[in-house]
Parts: sequence; structure tokens; C-alpha cells
Amino acid sequence: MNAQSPVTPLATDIRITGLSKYFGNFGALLDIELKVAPGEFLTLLGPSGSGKSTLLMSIAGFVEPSAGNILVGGKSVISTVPEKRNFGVVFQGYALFPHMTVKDNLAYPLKVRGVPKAQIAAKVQETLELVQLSHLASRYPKQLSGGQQQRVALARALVFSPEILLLDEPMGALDKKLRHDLQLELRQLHRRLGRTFVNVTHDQEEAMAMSDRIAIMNAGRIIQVGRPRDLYDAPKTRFIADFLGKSNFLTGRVSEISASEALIETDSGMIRHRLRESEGRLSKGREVHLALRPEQITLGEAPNTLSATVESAIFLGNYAEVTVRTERGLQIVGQMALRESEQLPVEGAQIKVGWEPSATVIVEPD
Amino acid sequence: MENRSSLPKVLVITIAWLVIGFLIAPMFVTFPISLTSERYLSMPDGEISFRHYQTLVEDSAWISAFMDSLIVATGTVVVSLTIGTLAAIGLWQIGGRPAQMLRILPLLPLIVPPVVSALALSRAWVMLRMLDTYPAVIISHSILALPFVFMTVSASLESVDKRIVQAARSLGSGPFRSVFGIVIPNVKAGLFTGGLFAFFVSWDEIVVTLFITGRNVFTLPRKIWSDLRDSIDPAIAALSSLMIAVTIVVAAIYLTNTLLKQRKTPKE
Repeated sequence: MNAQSPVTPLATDIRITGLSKYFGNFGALLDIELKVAPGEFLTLLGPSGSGKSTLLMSIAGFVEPSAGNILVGGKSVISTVPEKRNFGVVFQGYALFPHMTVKDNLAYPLKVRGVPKAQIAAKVQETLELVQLSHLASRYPKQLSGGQQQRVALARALVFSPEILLLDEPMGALDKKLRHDLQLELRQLHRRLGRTFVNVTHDQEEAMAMSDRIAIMNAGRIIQVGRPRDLYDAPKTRFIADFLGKSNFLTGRVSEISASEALIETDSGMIRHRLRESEGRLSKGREVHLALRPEQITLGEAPNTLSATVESAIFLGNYAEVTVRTERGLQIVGQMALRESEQLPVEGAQIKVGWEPSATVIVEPD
Repeated sequence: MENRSSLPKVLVITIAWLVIGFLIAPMFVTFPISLTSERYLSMPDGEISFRHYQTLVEDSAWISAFMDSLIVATGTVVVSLTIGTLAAIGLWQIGGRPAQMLRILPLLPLIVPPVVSALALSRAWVMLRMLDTYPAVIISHSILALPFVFMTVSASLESVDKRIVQAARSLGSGPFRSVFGIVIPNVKAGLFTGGLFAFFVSWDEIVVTLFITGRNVFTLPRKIWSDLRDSIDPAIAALSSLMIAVTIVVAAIYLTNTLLKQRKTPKE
């Protein structure tokens, strides 16, 4: 599925079919279909309450699904107890054992499996080196920083060589700078180990930075699965266009279709839209919703141009953010790099903003 | 801190000292009486004697009462600690609203007046033909001690991340091993305090014991009770003094231990 991931014999695929979970009348998971390729890094991304953690815990075995199946390496694990599934799990908040040293935390899964003592020591040492924590082996969890605790949790989940690693908001408790470093580290670790990783997060940046593919969830469903770039460039629904990065939205009716473009009549005028394969066939008169990324907006004339009043113009260092409103009340946010000679528009001024026909994407309304 | 003593403050301090005095005063009577040379309850009249302490050690009735209390209290610790801990861990794992509702159940013995418990238990043991047996007394005391164990263990669990049980299971250990190998070591302090409470609940329990024991099980409080009714033997004062002394020694050891531990752990 993804040529970039090295596939080793250790990696296993996961297939989820028709998976649902109800808590009383509330559907936490609704008919989930998902395939994770061997050695893939897949992230379940969604707002809180979208069901992403419930899905991960179903794979781990802590949530009993109401319907559907989970196949790992072709075999159903639905009736296997968590301790026999043999998946590494990094929990939210890490769930390290407070009464054990780092070394003992790592030794635990090996001890439970009856591995001989000498082998345990060697394996623990090797895994600690993998996450660069050898010097903290005899510390207790509460004596470690958040980032160090996260690495211990990671090491403990990997020390018994599980085929699959499940991560539940692994960066949740860390500050932004540290998060960025650990994202890179985790990605490198994934490349090195070549195992299947399933990660859960609500942070779109984290999802984009680490994942081979992202499955976007909302209200118990998977809405779209794809590579980060594809999801960003061609979001399927309005929700995704807004959740993964920012978007402006325009609504209109198809008034003319040519081979490569459609003319769409909106409140604010005619808009040229370059047709995409992924959008399927359009028919005349149909109502469409267009998503438009802020960074696609330029100041001045373009194939699509709107006259508008500047509501705010903010300089943010590497780019400027300009918010304008048209006469019809449509708000458009643009983000653009300013060339040296260019001036930031003045608030209240009348200006023209524009974009290329290829910049818009037709999305499904939610 | 620079506030001068205001009237309410003085009042509070005075009341506090009065209460402390009220609680401690009996000790200053009990101890001298235990040293009297007479055969009845009296202040020593110039002459100090340890004969009543000697009675305690030599009289087989006192020794057997002491042993009975020890057996019952130890049994109570084992039974109430097992049930109370399991209940606390179970409700901790369930969590949420259902656990909040069920939490009241193990606390019920605290709300029911001892006399009511005593009456109910004595009827029950009669029906089961177990009146005046060790198991009956141990189970009865365990019911009374259960709330204390449940509360101390629950308090300890409060600071433990619920997910460590799931973590242990994801690492390959079964539910039983996860609870005993991972949860229990993290609530040792709660278990110890709960066990101590259970021991003392049983050690000085009299109301229920009076209703459900006869000749066979004769605990220390029971012995004190019947001796006080029959005769007024200064041995009771000697016993009381001893128990106070043991309590003070245990408390002193416990306090110094915690103080030393606090000094050892570096401040963060």
C-alpha cells in the first residue's frame, strides 16, 4: 500500500470490518471499515468524542465491540483477551508502574512471559539504548520528566517485540517544542523497526508529521483515509477541510461545464473551478460546496477575483493573514508571504483578492 | 502570622485544650489506681504495688481473654482486608456513576447503630447455630471493620492511574496477576492503615460481642465488662494502663518513621 514503509517479517496487517460499538443507545463506533498495511504508520485523527480512542482500545482488546470483526495477520482476535493479543500499547498518561524502576517496568512483560533472567537483562538494556534512556534505568517514573516517561512507556511497549504498536495520544501531556522533537523520534523509530503502528491523536500537525496514512474520524465514523498530502489537497467533506488545516467555504450552483472546468454561480459572482477526477461527474444546476485554502489566496487580480473590505491584516513573521468581507457578507481569510516591496493592506480598505481555478475543491456538506 | 491573638482565636485554643484535657484526664487516674496495693479500686495510699500487673500475667482468665481477642482481631484483619480491598479495587475499576452509587454499600455498617447490628447478628448466628463461635465473632467484627478498610484503600487508589491495570494486561499478565502484582503494591499504605483500623475496631468491640458470645469466645473487652459488674478489680486499671502504654509506643514509632521518611525524600 505504501512503498516507503520497509516491510519486515515482524510486521502484520490489521483488517477491521463492520465494527460497531454501542454504549446503551449511543453509537461510539459505527460500521468501521479499515485496513492497515504491514509496517504502516496509520493515525486515527479526530476531535474528542469522535470514537478514535474507542477504536484503538477495541484493537487492544479493552473495548468489546457490539458487532464486526478485527483480523490481525488474517486471524480474528475478537475473542482473544488483551493479554494474549501481544500488542504493545502506549497509554494516555503512559500508565507506568509507579512502584517499579524504569528497568523493572521494562522487565515486567518479559518476566510475565517467563523469559530467563539473563535474557531479560540483555533485552531491557538493548531497548533502553534504543530510546536513549540507559542512564535512567534505576530511576522511578515520578523522578522523570514527561518526555522521559513517554520514552519509557514506548520502550516498555516494544521490549517484548510485539508485531503491532498502538499509541493512545502519546504526545498529549507534552509541551509543543518537546512534542515536535518526539514526533520526529517516533517516526524514525518506526522506520527502524518496520512494525505496524496505529496512533491516536486530535492534533492534526502530529498526524501529518508522523503518519504514512491518516484516517479521519468524526461522530463514530471514519470519513476519509489517505496520505496526509492527499487529505489536505482533496478533503472529501467540509468537516475535513476545516479540521485538517483551515478553509474558506463558498456555496453555489453549477451553471456551465466544459471539459476541464466548471462555472459556478455564487452569491458573490461567477467562479471558475478546475474539475478534479476525485470529484466525479458534475451536473448542471447542482448545488456544490467549495473549500478554498487560505494560502491559495492572492492579493490583486486573478482568474477568480472578489472585491472586498479588509477586516483585519496581521503580520505573523513568515506570512501575513488578511481577513476580508465581500458586500454579500462572505468572509475570506488569506495567508500569504509578503515580498519585500509589498505593503500589508490597511484595515477598512477596499481591495481585490483572487485565486486560481485549480485552488478550489468540491466537498460534501456535513 | 503577625496577627495578635484575637478573642475568637483564644477561645478556639482554650476549647481545644479543654477537649484534650477531657480526653487525657482518665489516664492520670487509671495509672495511679493500677499501682494501688489494695484489692479494690483506690488511689495508692503511700504504698506502690505491681500486684495487679502480676495478676494480669499470672491469671489464666486474663491470658485466655487476651488470646481470644488476638485471634478474633487477627481474623478480622484478614477477612475485612480481603473483602474491603477487593471491593475498593472493583469499584475503582468500574468508575463513574454506577461506582458512586455502589460506594455507599460497604459504608452501611457505619450508619447502622451498633445495637441494631448486634441484634441482627445475634439472630442470624442463632439461626445458623453458630452463636458463640470464633467464625461468627470474626465475621461480625469484619462487617464492622469493612467501612474503614474500604475507605483507606479507596483513598490510596485515588492517586493511582486506573490505566495501570490495562497496561499490565497489554504487557501480557492476566487480570488476577495485574491486580495483585501491580495494583496492590501501589496501595500498601492504605492496606496497612486499613488493617490497623480493622484490628482496633475488633480489639475494643463490646456491643456486638456481648450479644453473640457466651462462654466459648471471651474477648478482653468482654472480660473487662463482666469483671466490672462482678467486682471492682484494680487489674482492669493495670490492663488499661498497659494498653495505653502500648498505643503510645506504637504511635511514637509510627510518627518517628514517617518523620524520618519525610526528611529522606528530597523536596521537588
